[in-house]
Amino acid sequence: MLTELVLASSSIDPVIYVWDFRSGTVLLTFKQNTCYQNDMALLPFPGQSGRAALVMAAQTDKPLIHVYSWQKEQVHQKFVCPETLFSLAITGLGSYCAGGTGNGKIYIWELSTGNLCKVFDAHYRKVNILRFTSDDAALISGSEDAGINIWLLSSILDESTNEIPSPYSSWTSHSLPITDIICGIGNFRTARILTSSLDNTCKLWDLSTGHLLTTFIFPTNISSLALDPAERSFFAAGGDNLIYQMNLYRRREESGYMASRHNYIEAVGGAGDIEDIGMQDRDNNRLVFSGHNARIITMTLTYDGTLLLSGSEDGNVLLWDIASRQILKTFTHHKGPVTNLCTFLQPPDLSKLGISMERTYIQPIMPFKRIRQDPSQQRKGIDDTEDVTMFLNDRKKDIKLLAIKEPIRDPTSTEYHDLQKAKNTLMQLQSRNTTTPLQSQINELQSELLRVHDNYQKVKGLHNEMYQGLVEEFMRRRKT
Amino acid sequence: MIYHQLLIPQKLQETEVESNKSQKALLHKWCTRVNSLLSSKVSGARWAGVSFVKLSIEQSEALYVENLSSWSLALLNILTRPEPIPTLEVTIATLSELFARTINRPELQRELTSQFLPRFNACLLDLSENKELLPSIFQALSRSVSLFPSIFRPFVENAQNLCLLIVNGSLGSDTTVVKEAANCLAKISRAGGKSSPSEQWRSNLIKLMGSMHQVLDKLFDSVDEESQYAKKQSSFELPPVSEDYILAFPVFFERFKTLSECMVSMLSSPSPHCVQIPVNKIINLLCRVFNICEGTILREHKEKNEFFTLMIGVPTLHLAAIEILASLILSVGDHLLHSMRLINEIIMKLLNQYRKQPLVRTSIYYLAKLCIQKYGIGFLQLASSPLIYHITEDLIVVKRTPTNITEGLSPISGKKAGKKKKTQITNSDNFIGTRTVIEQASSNVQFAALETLNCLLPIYGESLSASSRATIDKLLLTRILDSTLISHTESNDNEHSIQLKLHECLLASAVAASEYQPSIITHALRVFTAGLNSHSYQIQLFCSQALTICDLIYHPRLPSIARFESTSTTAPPISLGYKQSTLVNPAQEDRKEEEEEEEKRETKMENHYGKTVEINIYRDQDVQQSEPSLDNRSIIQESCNIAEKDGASVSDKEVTFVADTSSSLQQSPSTSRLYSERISDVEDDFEIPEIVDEGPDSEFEDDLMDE
Repeated sequence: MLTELVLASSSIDPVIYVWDFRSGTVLLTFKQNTCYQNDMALLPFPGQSGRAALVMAAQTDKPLIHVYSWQKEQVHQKFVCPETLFSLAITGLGSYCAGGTGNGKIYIWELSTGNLCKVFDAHYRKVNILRFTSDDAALISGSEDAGINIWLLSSILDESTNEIPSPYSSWTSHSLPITDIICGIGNFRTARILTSSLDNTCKLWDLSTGHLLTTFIFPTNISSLALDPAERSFFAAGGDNLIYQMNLYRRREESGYMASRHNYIEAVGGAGDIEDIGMQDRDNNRLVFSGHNARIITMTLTYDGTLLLSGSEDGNVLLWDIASRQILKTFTHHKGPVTNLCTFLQPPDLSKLGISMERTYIQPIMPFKRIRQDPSQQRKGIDDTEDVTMFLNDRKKDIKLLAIKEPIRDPTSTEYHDLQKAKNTLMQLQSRNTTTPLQSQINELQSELLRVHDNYQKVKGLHNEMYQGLVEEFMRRRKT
Repeated sequence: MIYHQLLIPQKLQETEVESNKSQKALLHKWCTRVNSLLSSKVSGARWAGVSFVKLSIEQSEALYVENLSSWSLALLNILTRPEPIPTLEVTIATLSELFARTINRPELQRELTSQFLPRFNACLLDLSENKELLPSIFQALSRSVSLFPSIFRPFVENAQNLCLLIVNGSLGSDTTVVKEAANCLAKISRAGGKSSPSEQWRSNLIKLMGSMHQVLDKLFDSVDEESQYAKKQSSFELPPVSEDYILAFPVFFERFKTLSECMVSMLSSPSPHCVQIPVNKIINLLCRVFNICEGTILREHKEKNEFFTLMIGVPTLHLAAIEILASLILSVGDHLLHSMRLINEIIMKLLNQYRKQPLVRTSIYYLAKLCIQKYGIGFLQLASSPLIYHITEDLIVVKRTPTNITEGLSPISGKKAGKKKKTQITNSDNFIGTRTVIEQASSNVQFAALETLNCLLPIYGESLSASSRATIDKLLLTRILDSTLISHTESNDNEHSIQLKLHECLLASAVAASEYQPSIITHALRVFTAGLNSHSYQIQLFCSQALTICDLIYHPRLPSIARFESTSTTAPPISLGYKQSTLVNPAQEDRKEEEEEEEKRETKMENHYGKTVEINIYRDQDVQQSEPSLDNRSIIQESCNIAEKDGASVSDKEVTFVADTSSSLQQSPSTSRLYSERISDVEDDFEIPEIVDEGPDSEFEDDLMDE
């Protein structure tokens, strides 16, 4: 039975709690951790999508990253960073880690080698949030300077040039610090990005073209966002202790003289339109979740998108039913502001703590390096520590399907098959220990046998003739 | 076979069968007969006995547990005796299966596997002198080492030597035995021996690379290599080859191929332990191979013939290197992101180099396809333009009319006019020469190019220049429509596959339509509708699916969110003139064509202006200039008109419905704009401040650079 868990961290309380939010049972706690909002990330297990392997959290007071595994409460690994990180993100495949600093720099590390791949100035001020797109094609950074930059990962990591990477696009429509960014479903071409800011707005963007689709104006500053898995609606939480639900589609009702009343659905906003959430007050249609007593800092949706978890400054985590907007449970584990919440399916190695007969493998990650090495030296492959450490997956079928070496799929080229046939025949003729020469030897022996048999028959005939002649001769002599 | 079918219910309903005494007696009789067959003096009967043992253990768990020990002993005895090849093969396979089934049973492992498996492994190594048994032996060794690495450890060295005997190039590279040996070597590498499994794996990979470098040292002796590579690297001991390059080079080429096969096996086999992959070293090896091409310079004082012999085998080396690169990309994936530019350069260099070699070109296309799938937009930003050029070049079908070869010949002196006439009338070629000569790339190359295009369009289709898109669409449509005019009896088997791929690409083009590409959907719908009646069943099926997907474009279930305010202009509709277009490099000619298209668009805009004003009273001038393609635009305009007439009352309501992710299939920008305009007119009277999307802030960037 699959169980969904929630992991919550705080900026003051040094404990990370992991619990089953449906039953309320705390399964695990991690010690010695305090991290800011958006300063924690789950590292996926290689080749097993959806399985969280490790927890990485950048610390508030020191330039450190703590790594936790499901096997123990204490810190599994500690990485010293060049600067204190204020935002952290890991790629979907778990290959690279990005960290944003207080002076606008972004650091990119390769997790399997610990190499510092790139450091570059991305913003004027603190990098509040970093997010990778779902296809790992781009890194999106949001900053205190109200700017959002889109960086193509391939151009950031390009070793052939030492130039400072330039963003694929920059979005400057927000006027105050960016607080949250959410990447929608789809690849780089189709994904949409939702951003929130302290300027009381959330904006929906088209990632590939960089077009601003819709601006949503809220009555308060927005600190956290949650997007429905099917992008039908999103949730924005802010300073007035409320969570606003904004539907991205709405039904309109028409009535007229000619036609009977009928409904149709339309998309909200688009083409740079503005939607004012405050205006919905007049219709009493505002979709608001009310129940927190302090500013909401973080939110997350469950796997199926029917429940919402929200954490606030007073340390409470509330579980909401989205359809009814009712509070289902209140969790009060934390003694300080809840800065990060994330839901995930219970990993198999978490359920077998201490009683597992199977050996548990931990995703290998190397300590982060603080200084960037010369890429030309790395390329030469002189240093053995540059090796990529990882688990290999079975790729044999993929290689076969790729048909790099031989066109096994349709269309079948006759010239290729003729070539193969000729080659095989040649191999058979050349090899001395295969059946073909043996067969030919047998054939030779058989023909030899036939020849011998013929000769024998001839000799036998001759012998019989001779015998008969001799007998006749003998009889004739006796008669005479 | 009658008896073995009786085993099936025993497997399915074991409890019932156990209670059935007659069934038990039958099974006992079965076992007795199988045992008597195993100990028969006739070799054919022994073969049948072993085969029945294999069938029995596959079908009956009870029989397996009951007879495991006796059958194992009997089969091991067969292996030690001189038997015909088929009997030995089936015995090896049966024993391998017997031991493999004990994997999750500690008791059986303790009593049986740990006792008999070492003997079995030793027997396998003893039997290795028999070359015909080698594929079966390698399969059994691979299975044994994967499932029971600790039991296998004493045999690691011998098994590895056996593998190296096969992969040294003397037996060729494409045979089954070489592939099995390569696979076995990869499996053995993760068993560990004196060192830990991961160290053993890495050491074997380094040795493999060392051996490949040694082969390349010999091969590239006559070549002036640009980079210097370490001469002394740890490597496997492989038998020496003749000093004469004529005898040595074929062996070296085969050896490189087999070693590359081993490396591919190592990189693509799953590892239960963490392994360290020397990615940079592998890339260096590949670069060394790819650096040798037709333009490589001959080293001074070296024999030219040796150089030319090397050049004959370079495609073989490149093919092997491409496969290694593909397996590396598949295995380590995004760890190669920093070498993206290098990979792109390799692919483009190879595409330029191998224009007329179908086998290598096909492989290069598949490599490009893999890169597109793995790296998406990051790769295509670098590679899209030249890749499109090559794809277009390979997909173009050139039709030529046959020329009269006698035309240019000057008549023999004297009799002029009379001779000419006579020649023309009597030349029978003139009567059959009315058919056009078709020149096109190899079917494999076309197929691979289309697969690459099919991957490229959904990711980068919208970002391609208008001229590139127009060229591709025209090419796809022309090829598809051309084929509809040809009788299917004339087309060959490969043509069906290519047609199917063309349809797939057309769908990809329609789904990832760019704003400058208004008419592709109508063409695609025509083609897919016609395809429902195609003579090929596969094309019929695909067209049916394609129409379902296209339905989400013209009858979307979720209304789309308009991407931007329409400022776009129209591109010229795709003309399907059957004249062959001249191929140009889009990278060079894009700008020129865009300028030409700008002019054309201006004229088109004027044409549309008058027409659109008549049907749409809400449109401002800006919108009127937008593209005029989709049918649902007019439907929505009409609905807006009706709403206006009826004096619509509009109210907002919460919407909850099942998700439909098809909204990514965009309506035309003008549609949504119209829609939102209409709604904003009808909606309440709150003011909407003007938001201007400023795009990338140049000042900000400048400041950032200064800082």
